[in-house]
Amino acid sequence: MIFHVDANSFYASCESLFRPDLEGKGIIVLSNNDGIVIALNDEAKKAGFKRGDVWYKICDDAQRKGVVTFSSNYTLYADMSARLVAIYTRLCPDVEVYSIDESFLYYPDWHCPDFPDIARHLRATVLKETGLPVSVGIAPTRTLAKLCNKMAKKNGGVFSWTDIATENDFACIPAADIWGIGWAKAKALKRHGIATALDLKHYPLHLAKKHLTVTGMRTVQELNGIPAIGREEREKHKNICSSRSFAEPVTLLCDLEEALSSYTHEAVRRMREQGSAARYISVYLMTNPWDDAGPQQFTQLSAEMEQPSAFLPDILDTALGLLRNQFKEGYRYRKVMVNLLGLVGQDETQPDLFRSTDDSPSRRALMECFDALEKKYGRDILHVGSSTLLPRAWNMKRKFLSPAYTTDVRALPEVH
Amino acid sequence: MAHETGFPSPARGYEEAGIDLNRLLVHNQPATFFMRMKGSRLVYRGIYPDDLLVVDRSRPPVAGSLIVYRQDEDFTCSELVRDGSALAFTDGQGNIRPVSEDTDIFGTVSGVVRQL
Repeated sequence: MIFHVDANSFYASCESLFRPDLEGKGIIVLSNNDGIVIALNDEAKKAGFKRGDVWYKICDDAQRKGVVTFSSNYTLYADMSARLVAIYTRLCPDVEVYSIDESFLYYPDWHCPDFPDIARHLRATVLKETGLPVSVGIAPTRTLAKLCNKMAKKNGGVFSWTDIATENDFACIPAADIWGIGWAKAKALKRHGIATALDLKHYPLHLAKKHLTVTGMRTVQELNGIPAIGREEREKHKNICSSRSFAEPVTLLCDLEEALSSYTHEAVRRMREQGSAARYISVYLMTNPWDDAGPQQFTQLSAEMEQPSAFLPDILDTALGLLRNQFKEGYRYRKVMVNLLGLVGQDETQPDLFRSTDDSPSRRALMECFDALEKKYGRDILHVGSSTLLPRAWNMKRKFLSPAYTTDVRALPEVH
Repeated sequence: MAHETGFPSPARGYEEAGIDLNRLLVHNQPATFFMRMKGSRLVYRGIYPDDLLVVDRSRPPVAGSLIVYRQDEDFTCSELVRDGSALAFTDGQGNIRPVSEDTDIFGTVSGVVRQL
């Protein structure tokens, strides 16, 4: 049996947990650069706000209605998510972490167990230990379990497929609500006469395969209680990308170099974590098409490393060179992006016969020392050349960022 | 790097891991949160301003334990006592306030850390 467990309004719940002064108030959480609403609690929903609302358009209304705004505090959410997963792991033998706030829990098919009761106990334990409310959908397939979870939110937090009284319960659910069916597929389905989950459940498999591909066919099987969608370990990334949009347009090369250094550092860190080395580096540079004030540019330059490399100074040098070759004076840039491609295992690289390799053990040692220092003292402890320690104009705008309550000893919640 | 040469250590086989403060103070990691004490209301229980409180949300509250809960717009902390058959908070000077169903409890203080 499969439980789909997800946290209700996860980001908003994390924020309100440490703010006793916000009891009963509406809370909204904004995306990167404080762009749009990505999470909100029930009180904010009742006040008329929803996911996707553009911040600068609603900020006055939010203030008027006493709704409190937060920027995304990923450090906090990651820590709270890890706590959720630790509890699931304690209460269930097989946990699949699907996203930052959703997991699938696999229980063996015991005879006559009371799964709803197990789910209620799980819910109560999570609420007590972390303060976060979660809901649970129970079914023999992941697609059905996710669907049941949607129904759980309006039914006391736990909903089992056995609670589906009649097939007509499926008729009330639009096809677009089903896992794996986005609005594009839903439109296509409508053309074939499928509008609800009930329609999809009864769709003949050979037609599903024809019109929805084999993935769609598997969704139909799962709706009928037959597990069909396999679990995949998240594979190692084949390429690693790092970039952010700038809060303000950037015109100076030195600022772009600083930003690129920072993103390259992050990408190389992630690449080293999965034990890979990069053969190709790409750098993208772009202006903002909605900013009519200047000339537009969308360019990309790539370079091949002499050997697949995981050595930050070399990669950074290459990336900065690619940036300088694209930079133009007078352009107002919105975003720079670095992409590490052609990733191979660090152990797979073959040494070049003609290249002197006597400096490579010391380079390896240097990077390993760098990694160890970062691990011990934190990410921002060392910088290469052109990156910077200070916040800069190009940094992500997060005006409403809450403290890292659970990971920074200087930011602890206070008891008075 | 320290290399071992010469005589093997007579203590081989008896080594144990060092004392770990995390193990000592944190019994249920997902349910444990650290908070900072502000003010002197708990000096009578040996907790001083700026002490670090280890707060465990999973530890059952019993008489004598220190409970962190929401009062008005803040987190506060009081000792739990029995008032007849009911539970109440005390301020250590004989004043009692009943605990109601609506009291929003955060957790129980399971340890205090003070750096000098």
